Amino acid sequence: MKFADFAARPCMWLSKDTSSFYLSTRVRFARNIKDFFFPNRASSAQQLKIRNLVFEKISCLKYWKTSEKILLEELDITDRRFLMERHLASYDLVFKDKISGLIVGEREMMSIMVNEEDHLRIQFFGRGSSLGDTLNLALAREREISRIFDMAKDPELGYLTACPTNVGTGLRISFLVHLPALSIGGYIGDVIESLSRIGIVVRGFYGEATKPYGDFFQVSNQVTLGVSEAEITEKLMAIFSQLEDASVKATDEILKKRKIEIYDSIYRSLGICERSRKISYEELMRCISYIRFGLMIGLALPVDGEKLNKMLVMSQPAHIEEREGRVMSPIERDRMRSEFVREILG
Amino acid sequence: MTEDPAKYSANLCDICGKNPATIHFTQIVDGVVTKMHLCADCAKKKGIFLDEFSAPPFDILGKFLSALALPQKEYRDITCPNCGKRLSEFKKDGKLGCSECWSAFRNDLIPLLEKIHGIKIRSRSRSAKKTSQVQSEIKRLQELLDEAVEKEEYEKAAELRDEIKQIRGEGKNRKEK
Repeated sequence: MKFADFAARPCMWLSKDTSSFYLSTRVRFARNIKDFFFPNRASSAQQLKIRNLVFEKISCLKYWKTSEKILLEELDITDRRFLMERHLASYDLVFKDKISGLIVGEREMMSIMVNEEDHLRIQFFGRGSSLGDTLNLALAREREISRIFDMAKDPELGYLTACPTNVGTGLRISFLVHLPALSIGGYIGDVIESLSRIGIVVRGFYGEATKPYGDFFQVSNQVTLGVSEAEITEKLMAIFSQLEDASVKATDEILKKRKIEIYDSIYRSLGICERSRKISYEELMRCISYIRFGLMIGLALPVDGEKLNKMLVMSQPAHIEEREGRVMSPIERDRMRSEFVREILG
Repeated sequence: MTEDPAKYSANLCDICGKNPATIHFTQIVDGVVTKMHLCADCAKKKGIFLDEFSAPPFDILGKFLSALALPQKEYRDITCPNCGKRLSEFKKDGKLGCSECWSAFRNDLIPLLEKIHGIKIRSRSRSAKKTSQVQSEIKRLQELLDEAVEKEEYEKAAELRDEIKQIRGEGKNRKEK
């Protein structure tokens, strides 16, 4: 196990502001290097060549000088899951048998997955809801990278990717949001469906291929072709404010109709966190969701955004195992988790 | 060693040998390489809990996407001249094998892209890559032609001239289509 240090700190990119449903922004670029087969087709030798090339060239860039370079084959299962929990790597990177790598930038605010679905998956995090700033920074960093590599491009389509859903800008912007009111009110299904009709995808807490936990969702653009970065941003900002409106309306409505029930769930969740002796991560997520909702609607609870973020990130299974330095049974983890949560709240 | 990625999807679990393996990884401990291919059930029994990252439901997305664009009835299977990926393979996994696949499967990809991204891609008979290939071919022939003229090999020059004309003419015809 390699990541005890990482596991002892929360993620920098999570917003501490509990008055908003917004938690963070992620900007991701899919890029492939010209003249190499895409990772799904490349031989192990080619995959290794690509990884070496990327690791070598990235080190020359000013903003990546202090970055950490991780060879996936050196990691055990806990380490791999840890990187996923940290949102630094995807399922595809850690559990598909390829010669892959990960470059983690300063404060974990940016990372590059090497040989995931594409040669490079460059991602940037931001916690300010000002998408413009995060995007501009990401674009600047991405240009520096695209300049040192000869990327696979088509004059008509743009950047070429392994999957047709990413071709063009290769840009995916996603917001991590917390939508308890829409979920409790039973509107979330409709919201997801209507967003999908206009090219916006809603995914689970860990992004692609994961189910939602505790009403935390990733909302992102599906369309990457035939639109400019500015258009993608504009569309997402519009969706963002619509989601905010819908959230506020749903909150008003459920509080009008089911106030006692909801207050009960909020305080009960706090009680579970404060008093329980074992708790699964799924149950904890549900509790965090209710507690965060309580803070959002202005209840004076003895918790704040910082503590909630710690609970949200640092009590994930692989985080607990990394800190302890050993593999544990689920029951043992559940016990450690509740101890950890009580410590934060105490 | 060349590994056929398509093999992996058909791989069975190392432990039970029955279920398809969905978790693959290579680990190097003290210089010893271990490759693991496990199914979700056996992974769970070994204490590898991946419940948080439920079995990827979006894996079907690739299939769904390719099914969108490619007619289910008979179609002509094409092979990418660069990486050898077949159109039928793309239909299965939804992934292109290299940047040349984008040219090789272009006719099938355009309707798919229009569906995914909701835009109209102006149709053209040749990809830009091909156009540039044609241009470089013309350039090459032109150089040979100049050389032939210089060497006073007029018969050869006439052949080359006709060849160039033919390629150019073909280009025009395609544009008109």
